Amino acid sequence: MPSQALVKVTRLVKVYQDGSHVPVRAIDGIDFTVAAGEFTAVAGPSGSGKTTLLNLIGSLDTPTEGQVIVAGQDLGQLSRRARADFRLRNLGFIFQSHNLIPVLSAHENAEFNLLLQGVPALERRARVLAEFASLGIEEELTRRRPAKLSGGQQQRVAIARALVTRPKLILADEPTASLDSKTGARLLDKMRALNQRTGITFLFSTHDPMVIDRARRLVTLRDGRIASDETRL
Amino acid sequence: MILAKVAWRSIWRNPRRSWVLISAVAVGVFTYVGIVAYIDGLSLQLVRTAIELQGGHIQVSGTGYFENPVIRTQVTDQRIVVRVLDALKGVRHASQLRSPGMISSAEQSAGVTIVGVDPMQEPAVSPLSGLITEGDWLSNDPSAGEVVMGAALAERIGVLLGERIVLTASHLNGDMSAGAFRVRGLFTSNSAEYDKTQVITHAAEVRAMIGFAPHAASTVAISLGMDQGVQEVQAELRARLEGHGVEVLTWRDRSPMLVMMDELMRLTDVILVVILFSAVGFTLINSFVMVIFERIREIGIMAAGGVRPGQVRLLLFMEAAFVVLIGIGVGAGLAAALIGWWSSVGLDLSAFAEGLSRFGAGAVIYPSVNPERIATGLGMILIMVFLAVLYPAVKASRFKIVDAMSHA
Ligand SMILES: Nc1ncnc2c1ncn2[C@@H]1O[C@H](COP(=O)(O)OP(=O)(O)O)[C@@H](O)[C@H]1O
Ligand SMILES: [Mg+2]
Repeated sequence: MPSQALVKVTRLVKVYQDGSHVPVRAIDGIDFTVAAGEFTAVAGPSGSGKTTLLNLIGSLDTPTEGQVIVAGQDLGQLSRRARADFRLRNLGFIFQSHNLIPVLSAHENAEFNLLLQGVPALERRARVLAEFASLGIEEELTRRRPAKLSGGQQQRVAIARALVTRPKLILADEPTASLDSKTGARLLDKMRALNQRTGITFLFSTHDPMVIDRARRLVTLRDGRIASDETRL
Repeated sequence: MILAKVAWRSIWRNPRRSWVLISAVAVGVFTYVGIVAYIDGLSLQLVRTAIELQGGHIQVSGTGYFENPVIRTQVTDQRIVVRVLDALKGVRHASQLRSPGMISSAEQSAGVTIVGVDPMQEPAVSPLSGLITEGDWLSNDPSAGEVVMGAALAERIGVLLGERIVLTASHLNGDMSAGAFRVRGLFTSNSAEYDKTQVITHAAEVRAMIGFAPHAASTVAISLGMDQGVQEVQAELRARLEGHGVEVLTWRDRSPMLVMMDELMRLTDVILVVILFSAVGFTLINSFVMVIFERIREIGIMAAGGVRPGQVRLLLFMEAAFVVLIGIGVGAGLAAALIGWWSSVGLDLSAFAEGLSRFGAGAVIYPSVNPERIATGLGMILIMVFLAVLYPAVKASRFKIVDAMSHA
């Protein structure tokens, strides 16, 4: 079991309070760490706070109370712009669906973040092709735009995009929810293989039992609190 | 740059909307360039008229003559001025004697300015000899007793070509003097006012009538080959003619109205741009609010991936800039075609010419393209575009990413 904490969440609270509605405590006091190299699923019923938790860890949203430290960086200390730079250097995101930029081809989508990082063309190409190969994305798909790809193909391109920058942490919010169970299972096996091969930490949310079965560690949320936290062998 | 690629391709996602924007900008640019070229053409004609008919780019006269043009105020020895001028390159000049007076036909009289010129020299500074529509320009015979005048003046006093008129003026010694002349030529210039008030004859005749000393003149008119560098020549002349009791004035000094008009026209540019492009600006704001609404999710995806807020703004500015530059290209192309055609045929304003010629413009206007002014206008357009896209762009860059991502 790796010892160094990649993610450290302390007394985290997120209250949504928009307009006339009653405030919602989506995250209600969570303490939680993720070690480097983990392959962890956050489960729980719909509305239990999975997406909110991942967004807070991904610096896409700011907590009401508490602290999030990722890769040694207290996210609360960062400006909007610094958060963008932090994400570019350290994080990869895979969302439920519609992950890609419609006007760019599969290849261009996959290299988008590398371009932002200023990686030279030859290396960009090499990295994208390597990930495409390991994810089984065929040559003929690389020039297609997202609209001409199936849901599973789109998700694989999104995973490739998250991987090419070699982030420390990949956050995946219900990555299989828009896929049929067979495609979803294959995708998850790919992610697990990548985790083993590269050591990149995965943190994903799901309420799909098939996904839950494949996780090494399962954190279950209920009403914004951790209901259980079990590590499998 | 990847953001430029996204911006460019995004334009063509909704081609109809983009073409509406492009057309709006193109029509605006076309109208703007057309109107400015017309105004500049008109303005140039007014300036030309002022320069050509009213004593050249620069005029040398006795000190105080411009303020109070009495015959007593003279260039006492025009040879001094001529010597200085002959030493300068690219300068043409002619001396003139001017006096208020009266012209009488058998039927009618009218107050006029009598102008005595050297018929050989005068064409160096004035286009008048080429504007004769009936008869001829003055002959070189100093005692021929000829005048040329505006066709409008001839009509007013009821005299025909070849008929006789009498000029009356007061002599420097206070007596009245008069002389009989034959109408040798009639001219029509761009200025109705000029055509009704000026009678041109040989300098020797005026010298005798008024009693000017042999080398005295009212003014020395100076024409430079071009409209630039007038002030430099003025400064040089002032320095060299220091102490000779003369004043050296440019056409600008003599026509404050024209200078004011020129400034007014610059203001017109600003007003035009604001009027033409506030409509375009609102269309842009509207379109970009839509664009952003439609793309909330992908903007969120880019931001999640590490695109900075400033880069989101840049992306939208580039998208707007591409559309607007295409619009400017189309509009400028159409305007160039219009101006090309219009330069060859001119715009005939005979219907309104009566009014215009009072200010010294002809009935046919030719467009004039002043690149500096057009560029300033286009620059203002780009600034307006920037302002129009600023609000939606800032809004887009301030989106909470999580809200954007919850958008399907
Ligand atoms: N933007 C929001 N505004 C208000 N309430 C929200 C917002 N996002 C989520 N919530 C509420 O917060 C709670 C947790 O939501 P979420 O994190 O999306 O749960 P999950 O991903 O487990 O379904 C839910 O009650 C949800 O209704
Ligand atoms: Mg969720």
